[in-house]
Amino acid sequence: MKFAFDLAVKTALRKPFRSLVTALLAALLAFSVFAGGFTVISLRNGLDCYQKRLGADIVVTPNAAKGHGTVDDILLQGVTGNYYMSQKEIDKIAAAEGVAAVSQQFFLTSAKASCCSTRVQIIGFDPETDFTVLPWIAESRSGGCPPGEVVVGANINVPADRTVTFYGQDYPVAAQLESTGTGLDAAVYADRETVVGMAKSAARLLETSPFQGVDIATAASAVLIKVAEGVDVQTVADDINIHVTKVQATPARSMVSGIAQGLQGVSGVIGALIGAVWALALIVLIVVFALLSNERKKEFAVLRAVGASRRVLTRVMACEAALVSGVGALVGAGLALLVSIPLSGTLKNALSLPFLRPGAGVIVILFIGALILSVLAGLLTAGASARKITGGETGLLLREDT
Amino acid sequence: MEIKAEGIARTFFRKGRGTNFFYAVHPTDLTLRSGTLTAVVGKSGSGKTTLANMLCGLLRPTEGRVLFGGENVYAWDDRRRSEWRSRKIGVVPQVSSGLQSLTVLENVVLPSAMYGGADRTGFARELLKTLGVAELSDVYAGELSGGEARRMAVARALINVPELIVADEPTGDLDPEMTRTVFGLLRNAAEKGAAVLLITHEENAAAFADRVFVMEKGTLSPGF
Ligand SMILES: Nc1ncnc2c1ncn2[C@@H]1O[C@H](COP(=O)(O)OP(=O)(O)OP(=O)(O)O)[C@@H](O)[C@H]1O
Ligand SMILES: [Mg+2]
Repeated sequence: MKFAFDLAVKTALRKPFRSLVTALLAALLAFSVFAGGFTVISLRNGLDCYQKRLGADIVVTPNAAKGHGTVDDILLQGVTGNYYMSQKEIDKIAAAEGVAAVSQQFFLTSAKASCCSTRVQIIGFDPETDFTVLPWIAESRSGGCPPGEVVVGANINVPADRTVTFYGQDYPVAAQLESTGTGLDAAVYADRETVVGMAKSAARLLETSPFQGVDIATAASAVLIKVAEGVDVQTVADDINIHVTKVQATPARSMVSGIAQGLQGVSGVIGALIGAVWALALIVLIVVFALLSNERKKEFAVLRAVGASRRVLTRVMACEAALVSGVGALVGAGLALLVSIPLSGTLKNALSLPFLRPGAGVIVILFIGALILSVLAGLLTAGASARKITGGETGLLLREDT
Repeated sequence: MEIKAEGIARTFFRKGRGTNFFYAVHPTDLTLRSGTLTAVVGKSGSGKTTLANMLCGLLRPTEGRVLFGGENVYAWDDRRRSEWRSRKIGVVPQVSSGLQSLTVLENVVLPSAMYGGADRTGFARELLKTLGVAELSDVYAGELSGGEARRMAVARALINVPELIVADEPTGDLDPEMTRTVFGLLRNAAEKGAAVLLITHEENAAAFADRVFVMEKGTLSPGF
């Protein structure tokens, strides 16, 4: 084995063209697998997280929100808006058949705030009925969200003094939430009373109040619904859309399914790209090995003549291929790693889909997987060409290099 | 030690026109004994290389057997036959190039390193010196002239002090003086107990050989 390894190292170093081509292609293979895998996994993660964070079966929003930035936009992209429905509608929604639990949320758009480069969405949840925000806050392992304080999404910069100012009032930051890869990360959360307080200061500060004709003490921007066990979500949503005017009930599944479709499309494109890169790289590898097979033939004939068995030849060849494509794959996957993480923000914006970077464990697995696949490809193509060469008798091989 | 060929023959198909099935070597008996240098001469294309390759396990005969210590070499599996060739046989192929990515010295010790033998670098240097290429020890094999490569191959064939040496035109590109040196080395190996098969066009080979055969159109017959 040591013989094969030593010889492989020497050959790899002294056949720079051959080694470079193989290494480069292996790098390309590893890069495509890692970068592609990273993107698809991040998208899938984002979707999972979004689904979990949404936590509701149906989201009901005022009709006015349509076209101006739906809840979908608000939650996914952080598009901000102030739209409200009244207590009358909320009661009707709660009374609809099949509804097991409702929780209303009050959205408020901040003016430019110190924490944030753009306006942020402030979401007021009802601590008594909430079933979506509180579990999330609990996951951040903080002491919850006391009245008068806020919890901020992962993308909000928390100032050093841990207070943020909205409409002239200071609010201590109780906690920062874990990233979801969605617009939810750009929002600020507080209990309803606190946000209503903000709205009141806003009404005082702004020249034209955004709350004309709205009773901010009871109004809601969204009502989240959990349906009873065994009840069809679509039926409940249809029922609300028919019986309650001026609101739009959307099954969360269909919101997510839109994303899922987008994700499928993107995944398909990435899959096709990886496939194309692999097909191309493998073809080039096979062609290069075929071109170099005369050189190989000579080497193998000499080795055979001095007593190398097919097994020894295979070892030498495998060592060389593994070494060279291993180095190449390492470089390729490493480069992909270096590029993917800083570029994930850009990628997320470009795809307009929830995008959540996987954890270190998954990245390590992906990295190793990309290495193994690329080395395997190098081994197999080298092996196929070697097999063709060593298949015949050495006595015949020896004559062929004249 | 002896290696015994019993009725070995090799047929080939020619891909060109005409009769395309022919005997490169007709059924031949030949025994190579330790301590004997056997020379084979003959016209180009008469089947010398084909015979030599069959004897050292590189080319399977289409008829007959090659026996080493009473065992049919071609009945062994590739691994055993290869290891046998590595340990017991020194081959100077007619087209004797080396591994271009190794130095001359590394090429020469190749057979001894393959199955983990002792370090023979010292002996390799000695051989290269005798063959007049000592100063090329650390040059890559790809950079050698034809005659230099030939001498490297001779040194490589002798490195394991093999029981059987098959040298296929080892002096092809060498000057008369170096030809005598190579023949002297082979003669010396025979004196020390090796069985040597020397294929050559050199007329003065007879002076070094114990017996000479002539190959003609695939048929081997005693000559001179
Ligand atoms: N693989 C092969 N396929 C077809 N014909 C072959 C093959 N190998 C050898 N021959 C033919 O067999 C005959 C003997 O070839 P061989 O190489 O043994 O000759 P040789 O005596 O060594 O010649 P030289 O002195 O030129 O080296 C030649 O006519 C050659 O064309
Ligand atoms: Mg010949």
